Order: sequence, then C-alpha cells, then structure tokens
Amino acid sequence: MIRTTTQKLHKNLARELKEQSLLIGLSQEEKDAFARKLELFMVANPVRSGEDLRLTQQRTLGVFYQLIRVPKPMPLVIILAVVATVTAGGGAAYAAQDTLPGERLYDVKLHVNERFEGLLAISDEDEAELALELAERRIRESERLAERKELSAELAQGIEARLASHVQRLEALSVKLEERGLTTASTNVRIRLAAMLELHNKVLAEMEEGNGLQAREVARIRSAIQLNSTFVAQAREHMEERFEEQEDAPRKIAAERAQASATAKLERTKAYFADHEHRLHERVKLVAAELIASAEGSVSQGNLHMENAAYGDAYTSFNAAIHDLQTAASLMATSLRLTTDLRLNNAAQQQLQGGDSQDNETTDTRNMDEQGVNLNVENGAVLKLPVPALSR
Amino acid sequence: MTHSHEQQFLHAYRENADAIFRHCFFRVSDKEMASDLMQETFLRTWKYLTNGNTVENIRALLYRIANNLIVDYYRRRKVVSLDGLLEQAIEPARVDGRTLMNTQVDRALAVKALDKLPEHYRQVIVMRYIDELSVQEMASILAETENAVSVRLHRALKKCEVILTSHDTHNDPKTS
Repeated sequence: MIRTTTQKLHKNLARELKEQSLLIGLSQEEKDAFARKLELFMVANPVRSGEDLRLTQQRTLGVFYQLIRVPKPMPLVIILAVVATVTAGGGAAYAAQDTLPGERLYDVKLHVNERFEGLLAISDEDEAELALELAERRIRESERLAERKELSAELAQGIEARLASHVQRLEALSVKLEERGLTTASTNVRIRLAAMLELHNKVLAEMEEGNGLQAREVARIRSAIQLNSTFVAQAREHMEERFEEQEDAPRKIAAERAQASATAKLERTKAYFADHEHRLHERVKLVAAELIASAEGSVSQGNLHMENAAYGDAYTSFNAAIHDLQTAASLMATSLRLTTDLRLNNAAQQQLQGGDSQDNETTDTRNMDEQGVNLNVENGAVLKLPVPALSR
Repeated sequence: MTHSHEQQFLHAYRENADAIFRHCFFRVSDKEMASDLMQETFLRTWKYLTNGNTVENIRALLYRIANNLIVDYYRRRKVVSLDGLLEQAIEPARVDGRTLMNTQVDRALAVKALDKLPEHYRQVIVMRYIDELSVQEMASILAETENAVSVRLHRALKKCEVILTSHDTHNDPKTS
C-alpha cells in the first residue's frame, strides 16, 4: 500500500514537473537570433577541407543523428613527431619533454607526449592526478620563460588558457569523484591543487617584483592563478560542509582514507627530499624540511584524533598534512627547475595576505618565525614561506 | 547528400534547442544563464564535430556538453531560487491553495521540491522527468553505470518525497 502511494506520488511529481517544464521555452525570435549567430560561427569554423564529415539521420528514440567521419589528417607536426618517434626510438618526443611555449617541439609536447600520458590515465583518479600535473607544468613553463625574459603577452595568453582548461578538467573530475562517493579522493585533489596554486602565486609574486621587463606578463599569469584559486577555495568549502553533514560511519571511512593518503604522501615526499636534498638551495631545503616536519606533526595529531574517534578533527589534520606536503613537493620541484634562487620577500607576502584565510596564518601554531625558518639573507631579502592554513 | 553539414547542424539545433534550454534552466534556475549555456552547448558541439571527433549520438553529446558546462557553472554560481524565478519572470506558478492529499502534487510544490534538491539529485530528476531521457541514456551521458544512475534517481525521488511531505505537514494549506 505504502509502495503504491509512493509510486503514485512519484508519478504525479514527474507529471507536474513535465507540465511545468513545457511552460518554459525560448521565443521564436530568440531561437532565430541564435541560429544566425550559429551560422556565422560555423562559417568562421568550417569543417576542414578534404575531410569527409557525413551527417546521416537515424530515427530511434527521438531525433537521433549519427555522424560518421573519416579520420581527419593529422597536423603535420604530429606526423613528423610520430615518424621521428618510430624512426629514432622516441627521440623527438623525448626531446620535446622540456620544451617551452614558443619553441619548435612544444606542439609535440602538447599533442604527442601529453596525449600519450592521457591515454595512460585510465581511472578518474589517474586523470585527476594528470590534470594536476599538467596545470603545474603550465605554470612552471611560465616561470621558466619569465626567468629567461621570454614570456611574451601571446605566450602568457596561451598558458593562461591551457591552465584554465586543466583546472576546469580537474574540477569536473573532482565533482565526478564526489558523486561516485569518493569524497576523500575528491577533496585530496582540490587541496593539492590549492596548495600548488598558492605556492606558485608566491613564486611568481617574487618574479613579478624582481623582473621589470616581464612584470606585466607575470602579473597576468598570477591573476589567472588567483582566479583559479578562488574557484578551488569555494569548491573545497562546499565539500567540507558536505563532510560535516555526514553521519559518523561515512566520516570514519573518509578520515581513514585521508589518513592512508596523507601517510603515503608523507613517505613519498620524504623520499623525494632525501633524493634531491643535495641539489636544493639551502633556504629551500630548510623550508621544505619544515613543511615535511609540520605535515608529520599533523599526521601524528590526526592519528591521535582517530584513536579518540574524533573523525572530523582527524580529517582536518590529515588534509592539512596533504596541503603541506603538496606545498613542499611543488617548492622542491620548482626550485630544481629554476636557475635563480627562490627568495620570497615581505612585500610579496603582504600582497598575498589580504584575505581572511591568510590572516589566520599569522596565528597558526606553526609559527615559522619562532622556528627559525625566516632567514635574513644577503641584500636584506627575507625568505618567508608560511604554510597556508586549510580553511576550517 | 543534399544538405551541407552546416544545414544539418542547424536542423539539429532547431530540433534540440528548446530541450537543451529547458534542461539548463531547471539545472541553473536562471533564464539568461540557461540561454547562454544552451548557446555555448551548440557552439562547443560544432567545434567538437569539426575537431576530428567521432559522434554516434548527437542528442547525447549535446546533453553531455551541456552537463559539463553546468558543472563548470556551479563552480562559480550565485544561488537563485528557481521557484521565485518561475513565479516572477516566466509564468506565474499556479498556486491554487488546494490541499495536498496523499499522492497529489501541486505544480508549484513540485518546482519547490526540485529547487531544494542538492545539485546531483536535481541533475537526475531533470534528465529523467523533464528531458525524458532513459536511464540508459543518462548513464551514457554521465559516463556512469545504469545501476549508479538508478540508485541516485531513487534517492532523489525519496528526497523529493521528504521535502513534499514536510511541506504538507508544516504548512497550513489554507494559507499556502
């Protein structure tokens, strides 16, 4: 009886929604206006000549179309890359790995190397990992170009667009992971993206100040980073709210997953630090070590919270550790790729400390002044890399 | 072939524009934004077709692209009430004050329930009952299993039921 009532309710709900939806529509004028816009767009973006794009209509459930097309010819650069890869044992693709925008093999890097990486990313988690890596790769390219004073407005524009595209992809994948119930994995990628963007914003702030000729272009990349950081922060806040709404059992599972993730990342980051320590600049080494120590502290604290069944606090601690570890990893990798020292000064810091979350940093228990991480170095510059607080 | 690609795509636009617009409208609760999203959907679909991608089902592709755009939109959205919008801007929802008894669902309340649903539930309700897509088609568009879509749809309906029941219990029908 209850089942029948429920079914009727659902049926009526569906009918009312459908009827309501039929009241909604565009006027004929609106549709015609866009049809004209669409026609112009199609003229401006035609099907490339020589291609056979066939559109055949098939009627099935509704209006269905099937597009059958002959594969389009590859761009010349890709053909050359594939030929080079086959004949020279992957030499061109290998050579393209470290190229920068504006260089001859950069298209190979984007269209061959990175597409190949995409093919290897099978799960949503792998794909999110790759999108994060590609977003950071684009920012590093801008840093290296700025360092060489070769970051033109045109190159900055291209980097900006590609960065936005990687971040959007990451956002979409994060939503997908959340919808699949993988809240921890989804939160993990957002936290790491936020940490990575914050770190590079600081690095570029330093470059912007010390690099007169490129200041405008660097500012443009920073502005793109800050814009993307805003979206990440909003989305992360939403996810944290959803975590709070959950009951104890799923919260425990989420905290356990965050624990496993933070612990594994701690080990990996420590191993990376040990392998590259000798190549890192002394100041970067100190900051990275401090971040790792801070993450280790957060993991221990999280473990204690787990023992006390305080899953919300544990989750926050593990996520703080993941944030610190990502900052450390990005800092080390960035430092190794740049030839100049990373030296973030007070002015750049203050510029970034305008928001509420930044205010929290000054009262964060990980006071880096007290722990000796602020170092007065030559020429009066001060290295200061505070650990961005996770919004709580 | 008697028609050019462009003419055929325009035909696809005329066949699907209203449905895609409605889908966007009930997902984002904003007429202007829904119109923009619909337009962007068709522009991106055309670009997709000219970029060397094989497409088997244009309708599914349109919904998939619209869905991706909506996901992006929600990253930067402002919260707007769908219910309020329907009453003020498009067509007054017919609130006739009748009592909700057992299985009756008032049209305005149906929209209210939709408005109160979390986005991931609203998505499947709109696809199933407004777009009238099958679970199989929804699974294909969302790149999920049919089982996952069915479960989410079921939960979404349950949530609607709770919202409607709660409204029925807490509101005096004479004053609603």
